[in-house]
Amino acid sequence: MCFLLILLIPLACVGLALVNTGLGRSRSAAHAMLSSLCVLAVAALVYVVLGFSFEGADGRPAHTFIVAGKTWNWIAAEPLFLRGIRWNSLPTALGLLLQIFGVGLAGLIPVSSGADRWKLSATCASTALLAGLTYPLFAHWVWGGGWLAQSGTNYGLGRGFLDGSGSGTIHVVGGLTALSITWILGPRPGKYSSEGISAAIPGHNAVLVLLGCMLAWLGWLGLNASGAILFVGVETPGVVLIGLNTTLAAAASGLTAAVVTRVRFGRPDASLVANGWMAGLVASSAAAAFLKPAAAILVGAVAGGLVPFAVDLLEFKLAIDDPGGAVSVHAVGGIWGLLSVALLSEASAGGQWLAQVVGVATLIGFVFPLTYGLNWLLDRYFRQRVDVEGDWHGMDLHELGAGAYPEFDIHSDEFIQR
Amino acid sequence: MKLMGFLLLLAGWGLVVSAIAMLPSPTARASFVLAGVGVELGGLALVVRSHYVVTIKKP
Repeated sequence: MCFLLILLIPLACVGLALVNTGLGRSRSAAHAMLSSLCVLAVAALVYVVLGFSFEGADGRPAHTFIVAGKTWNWIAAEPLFLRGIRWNSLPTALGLLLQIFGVGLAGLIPVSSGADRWKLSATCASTALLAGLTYPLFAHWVWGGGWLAQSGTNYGLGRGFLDGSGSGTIHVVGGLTALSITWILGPRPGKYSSEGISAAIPGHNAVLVLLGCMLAWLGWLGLNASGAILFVGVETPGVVLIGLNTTLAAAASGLTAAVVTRVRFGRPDASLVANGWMAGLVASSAAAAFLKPAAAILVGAVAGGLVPFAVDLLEFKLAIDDPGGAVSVHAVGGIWGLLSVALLSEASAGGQWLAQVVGVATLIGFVFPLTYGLNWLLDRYFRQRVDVEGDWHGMDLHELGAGAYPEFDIHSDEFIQR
Repeated sequence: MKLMGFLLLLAGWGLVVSAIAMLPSPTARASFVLAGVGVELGGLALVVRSHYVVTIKKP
């Protein structure tokens, strides 16, 4: 059962890749899809070679130290190349398979924020850092029996930091990496004037985006259900409620985004509704196993209401050029999902709120500087942004030598102020 | 400004971790955790500001 649910997760990756590609420009569409494929490949290989040895699993070898009489489990001590895995030990093996897909999903998130200017080679190198160090470290703390997971038993913080299926471990980690990438690369040419006024550079294919949302929904059903079984001990019959909550959160979130954009702009905005749908899925991942259906609707509605405002704030007020809204969807939606465990779920008693706040503080205060620092160092020695010619020609022609749509006229740079 | 922002992010996290490890009283622990989150938000604001200035100077 759990194995079959895990096999749905690649559909989440497919959906996210389609959303990223559709929200980017036509002149970089083939590059975006190829980048997504390469990200999945690099993430799987690096995680297997190196990442799992840092992450490990609950109850397996780890490095610890003692603080004030309590054991702090901070990083796994597994051999490289999965040499410590016994393949007939189902929970560990299934968790490993889930996370090979999960780390790929996390790696796809920055592809969206770096659209139209992130070199393919740099994308692969950055993904290797994510899959080899950043993701495994935080995932060990949450899912591998690390100090955040132990904060319940060690310090009486509820059940310890709860993130059933990756709102924090996959999405906030990916979203904060996306924020780092968009800052390190800088905005696309012509996006901001010297007065800070933003030019609209719309996505090229709303059909791809919306199809991606539907495929992602299927993938999330598998992700949320299998994650809850493996990481928070939900029994198999509980997956029915998880499937329902995942769907309700996405539905409420997408519709709320539609209503918000209808009220603000006079008509629903397809890309923001798609972002709202995705944010509902992201937010549902942390708490789907612990929510009643009405609470799942509320979690989704808040996520869908947050996203259009977060996209506006980042683009217009803070001058952050994030073409696919990855930071708003995955970082903001994910943080809301983590906090909703404390605010709205059945697991909200006895200091759980403090455990969730500590987890969010760790993401912002430790994971964000770590992922920014690693990508900044990479950029110092290997420039991540495409050169000026690539900026003008588009990534397809510049890096691949051919466009995604060779039989059609590609629009010229009417968005760019020459 | 950017470096100071990242240092504040790390300092805030250090405050959060120290609070849960060293303070036995739930009230004191919660207060220091929230103070740490406040320091992190200050650091984040500095990092955002530093990048905003760079983006607008080099459109």
